[in-house]
Amino acid sequence: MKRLVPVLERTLAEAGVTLDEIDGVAVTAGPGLIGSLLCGVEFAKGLVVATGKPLIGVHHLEGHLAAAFLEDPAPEVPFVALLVSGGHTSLIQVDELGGPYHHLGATRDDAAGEAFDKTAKLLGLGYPGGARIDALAKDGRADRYEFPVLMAGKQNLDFSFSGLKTAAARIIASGALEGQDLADFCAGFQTTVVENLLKKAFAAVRQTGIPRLVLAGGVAANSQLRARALERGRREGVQVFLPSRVNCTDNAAMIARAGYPRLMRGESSGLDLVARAHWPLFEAHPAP
Amino acid sequence: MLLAIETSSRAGSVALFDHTGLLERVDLGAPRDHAQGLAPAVQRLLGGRFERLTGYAVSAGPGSFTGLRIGVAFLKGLGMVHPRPVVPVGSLEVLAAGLGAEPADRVAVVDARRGNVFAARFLGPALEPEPDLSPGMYPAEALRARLGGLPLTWIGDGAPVVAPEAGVIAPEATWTPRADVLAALAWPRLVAGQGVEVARVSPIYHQLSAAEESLGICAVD
Repeated sequence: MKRLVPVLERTLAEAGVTLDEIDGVAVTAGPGLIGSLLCGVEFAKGLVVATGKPLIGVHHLEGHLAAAFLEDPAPEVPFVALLVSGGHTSLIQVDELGGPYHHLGATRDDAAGEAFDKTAKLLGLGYPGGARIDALAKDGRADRYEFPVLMAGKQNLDFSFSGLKTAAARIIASGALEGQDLADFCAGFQTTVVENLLKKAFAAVRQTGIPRLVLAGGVAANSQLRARALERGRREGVQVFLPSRVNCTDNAAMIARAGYPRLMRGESSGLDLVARAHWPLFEAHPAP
Repeated sequence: MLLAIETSSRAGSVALFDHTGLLERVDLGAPRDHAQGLAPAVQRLLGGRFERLTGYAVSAGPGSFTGLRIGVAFLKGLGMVHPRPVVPVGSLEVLAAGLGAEPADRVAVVDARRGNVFAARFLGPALEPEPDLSPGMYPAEALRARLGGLPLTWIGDGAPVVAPEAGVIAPEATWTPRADVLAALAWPRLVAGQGVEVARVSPIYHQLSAAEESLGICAVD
């Protein structure tokens, strides 16, 4: 709440733009923490009531999908998106930015980022700990500890991470992990998550016949996931697209990018736009 | 001309006020509709008359966390585009002033759940704040023990929670802080140059919201 005005002022100053030059205001309308969403949505409404410019409510996940379009060159559509963050693990077919989006698969329990964060917390690495596990894993051997092969069913494109979380907790409970042990543990854990994510992502590519895979969401900043995705892509003739790390984690640029085509099409949300803590992407953008 | 935003309670409202007095008040819908109602109401109320605005007033809390966030965040958006001084007024003072010129000392009291109330005591018709009960959150029982026997007027939905044995509970119709009352309190302060920059305005929560308690984040900024 305190930062709304100073951050916008600084952004405008750094971009060399005044509020008069803004053609519309895009804002995350959900899903997420309701208190934060409310602050953003109402601040945006204040801006549009005052300027008379259109308001555009954006789905947070659509923002993550749009992050790839902040890069040059942007990915060609259609593509398969592997969207992995602290709250989501989904495979989505993107025909066009702005939809339609087709649901291909999702986690049945924990999100991949949640598995990272919860395990990091058990290891005493702090929160959020995904980046710490990533760093520690670089010096570790992945085959030292045994982690379960993750399977939510071979035939589908769904994920499951609860078994991994349990196995990780069991190993951590059996004795404090330090030094090389900790590095080996992190390497094994991370490799299990990464390989599972990519197995399903490349299965989705084969199933849809679309040879383009885009990584999105905070976990897409993971270095092993990025490296392995590129490697598999080269081997299997799939074009893998990685947004820069800074655009993977939550940010307003991706929300602007998602809102922009809608603004160009003359769409806008009403002033009665309501922030929603829960809001399935496929409800926001139903496939035709 | 002053735009006043009152969203600290279940029934929000907005008002326009100038040297001639109240110009117009618009009531927002049901409590959960603040988020839907505030922006359209302000747009309807102001039309394109932003250039006539000389300041803003906002009910700063304590009260509904959601309501306070909605009011202050929206005001920050408006104020960034049309910068004018903002007069934040404590929501308990707005509530107390709604009773009009009442000779008795009064206690504004709002149900804060779990046996607690937000409360503040004001002295006489001039509404001098009583330092012994400055705006804050108090256990209802402790308040009854301390003040329940005094000849006070209790105003707000926290009155039945405290259930004072003496004094008077103001009629239920007066239990809602209103934007026109807020505007009337704020106008002389605006004229006296007591407004602040919009970036400096924060809601006064006086306690942690349940969500923030669980996250370990302090809400009082």
